[in-house]
Amino acid sequence: MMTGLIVGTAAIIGFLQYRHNTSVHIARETERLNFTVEKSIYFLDEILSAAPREVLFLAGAPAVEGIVRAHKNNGIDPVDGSSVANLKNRLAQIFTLLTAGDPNLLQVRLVAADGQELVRVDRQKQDIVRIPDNQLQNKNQRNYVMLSHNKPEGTVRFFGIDLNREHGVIETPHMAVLRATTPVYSKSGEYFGLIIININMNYVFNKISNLFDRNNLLYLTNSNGDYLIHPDNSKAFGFDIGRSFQMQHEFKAIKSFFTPNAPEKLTLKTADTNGENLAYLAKYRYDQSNPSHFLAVAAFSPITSLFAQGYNARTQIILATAFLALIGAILAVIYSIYMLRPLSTLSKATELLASGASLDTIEVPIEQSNLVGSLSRCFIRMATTLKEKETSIKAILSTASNPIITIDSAGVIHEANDATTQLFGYSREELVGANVTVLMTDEIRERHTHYFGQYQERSKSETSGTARQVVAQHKNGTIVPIHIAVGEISLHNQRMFTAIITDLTELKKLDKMKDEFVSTVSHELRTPLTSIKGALGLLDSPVLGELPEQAKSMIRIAHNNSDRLVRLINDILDIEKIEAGKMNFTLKEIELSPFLARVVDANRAYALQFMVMIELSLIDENSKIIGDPDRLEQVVTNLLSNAVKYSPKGGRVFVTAEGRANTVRISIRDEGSGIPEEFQKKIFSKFAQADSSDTRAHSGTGLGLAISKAIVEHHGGTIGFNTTENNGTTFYFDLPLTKAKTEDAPTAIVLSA
Amino acid sequence: MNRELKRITYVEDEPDIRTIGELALTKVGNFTVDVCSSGAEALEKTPQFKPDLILLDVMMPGLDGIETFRSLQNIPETAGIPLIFMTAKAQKHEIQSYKDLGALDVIPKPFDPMTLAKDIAAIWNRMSDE
Repeated sequence: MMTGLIVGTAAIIGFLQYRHNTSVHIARETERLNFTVEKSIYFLDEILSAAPREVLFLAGAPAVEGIVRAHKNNGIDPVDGSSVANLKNRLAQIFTLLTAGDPNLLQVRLVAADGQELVRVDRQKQDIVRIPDNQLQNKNQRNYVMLSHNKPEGTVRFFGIDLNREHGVIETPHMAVLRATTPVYSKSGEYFGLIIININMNYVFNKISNLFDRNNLLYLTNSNGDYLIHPDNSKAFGFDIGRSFQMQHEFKAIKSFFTPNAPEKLTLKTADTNGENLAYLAKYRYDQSNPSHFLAVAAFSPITSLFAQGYNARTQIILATAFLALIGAILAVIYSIYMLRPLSTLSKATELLASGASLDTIEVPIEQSNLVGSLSRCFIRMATTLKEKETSIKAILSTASNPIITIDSAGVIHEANDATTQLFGYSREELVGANVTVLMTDEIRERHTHYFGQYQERSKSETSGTARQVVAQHKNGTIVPIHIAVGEISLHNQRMFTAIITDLTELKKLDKMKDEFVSTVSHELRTPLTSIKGALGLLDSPVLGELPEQAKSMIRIAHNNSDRLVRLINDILDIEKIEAGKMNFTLKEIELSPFLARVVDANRAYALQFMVMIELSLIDENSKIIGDPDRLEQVVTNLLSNAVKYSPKGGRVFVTAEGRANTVRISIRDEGSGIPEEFQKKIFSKFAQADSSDTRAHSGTGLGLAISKAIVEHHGGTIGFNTTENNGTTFYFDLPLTKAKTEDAPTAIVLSA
Repeated sequence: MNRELKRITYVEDEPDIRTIGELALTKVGNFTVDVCSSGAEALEKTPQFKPDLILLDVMMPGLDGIETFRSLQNIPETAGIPLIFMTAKAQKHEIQSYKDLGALDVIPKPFDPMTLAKDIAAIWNRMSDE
């Protein structure tokens, strides 16, 4: 992996560097070719621009003028009397001095109009030699002579460049020669002849060639494209020896360079039989008399040789990459030995620990001084802490007084603490792995599947904290009442349930004792009360004879209060049962209409004592509810009793039953003084009455509304009230209907009191 | 059973209540009443009293009302005599358990001496109608 990364990175860097190098090479080479060609032209110009100056200077030399005059004056210059021979000597001296001063000058001549050489100085190796008159030749057949005759004065013409010939034979070794001519005229304007200089181009060709290194190719052609310089020497001056070699034929891409209107300079890439080349070409126009004459200098750089450097660089990069990769691989091997082996050990240790092995038996590379060592030490600390925590939790579980068991979603017991084994009589070994149903009674076992299924369908947040009371079974068959609180945890992606159990055996015993106590106390209270109430009842009646009115009044007070005491005892017993969750409800279907009529009738006599009328309105006489008729009667009676007691004399109490969507609302409305605001919040609390005087004034126990609320809520209903001070109070309770309302239009029945 | 209720055996250990109950039954209800102060006395005397109805307290020292009732059921002369319990232990479930034993009904204590006779007569008539 790491080796691959190193090699890959190096290869990418190498490739990018190679591409960069290539473009840089091309740009740099183009620049270099450009420079070389321009420098070549500079050298050519240095020589060729001197030629016109030199021929014009010689044509105007006094010796030439003297010779011209002498020729017309029978060999004697009329100006100073010099002979032609003398004048020729003087001219030869000038030719010699000029030739000595210009190393490129090969030959300087004065040629007569008939083509005969008159004065000629040659450079012969190191010497400058005047050719004796008897060796002078007639050159009238030569092209450069014929074409130069009679041209206007001051005209300079160039001929060549071609190979020098002596007596019509090409001189060897080859010498490239450029000839420059200018006509000579007498003062009177008669044509006399020509000044001709031969310029040795070999010298400048060498100078130019030296500008090129071995990787670049120099080509020099004339205006026709004929090679003057070619890397293959045999192709140079081919036109002069009967074999034409032209640049435009060799390099097709530059054919247009030799056509009229072609650009002066050209940079291009060529691709032909010579391979791929980077080329720079420029024209040098040296002949003022004939602008179509030029020399073309071309510098070629073969791409292959150019990229040979790139290939070298590429090879170097590949080698460097390979080297880097090798270093990387070695490092990776070292790294794997140094890091991966201890890491592998640590990984194995983790797996072993996870599978339950003891920390003491596991090899962990803690002695390493690197990161792995640090990681290993952390691992040991973590494992130790975990072990300590596990031990601590186990100790807590083991010593917990509550039985705690953990089961999986199939009901299989995974863990059970000591308290569990003590409570149920099974050993831990018997419990772990067994199904939790072993702890259940037959009845509970049947229901368990249903309950457990419900549990599974619920989310964790719903199941956690679920608690209920059930009965379990001891190994010996004894029934054990328990309270069970279930929490859910997720372990290895599996839902696990932890149940904390509370043994309710003792609690149940205590509860039973309390029940008996309450029952006994209430009996013990009722026994004397029965006597008191009975005695007072008889005294208050005519059965035992008439009493004085005042005594009767006292007896009545005592009698009423004994009644109140009875109600108080009954209410206290009810409250005690409600709070202990032991109030029994015998549920049955109740037809609301006859039920309310009966309860209202039973309370009419009581209401009449307060001179209050009760009116019953039933909105829907077919409404049915499920409930305990005795308990609901207790509620209605309580609410009626309150309404009656708080009504003004002659007032009315309205009882209505009004069907709603899924509920029925039973309302008891009075025309009393309303409930003071400060009392409204605590009205359903125990022993709540508007003020302390009320207890006496209205002879209530202060428990009625608390009991009513508990009964209504036990039926799945709600109880409430609306009140306006001095404008009556409506108490209502809503109970669920057992069936939808009938399709009949609501009917109202008013039963008279 | 269209028989008129005339004679009642009233069993009550508490003398004050016994006095008031007897008064209520005789003076208000105009019944003929034989009183017993314990279960044992009731077992001994009831066969001789030949009452139409037995009114029996539950919580009594010695034989309590339940045991007395069961014993009376085992005496041929008293086995078929209708019986009403009169007790302070008259919570809903307790009342049901007395009825389950075979009692006609239960009158809770404290009772109203002025309505006691009427309540008993109502129970008697209801039984007669069935």
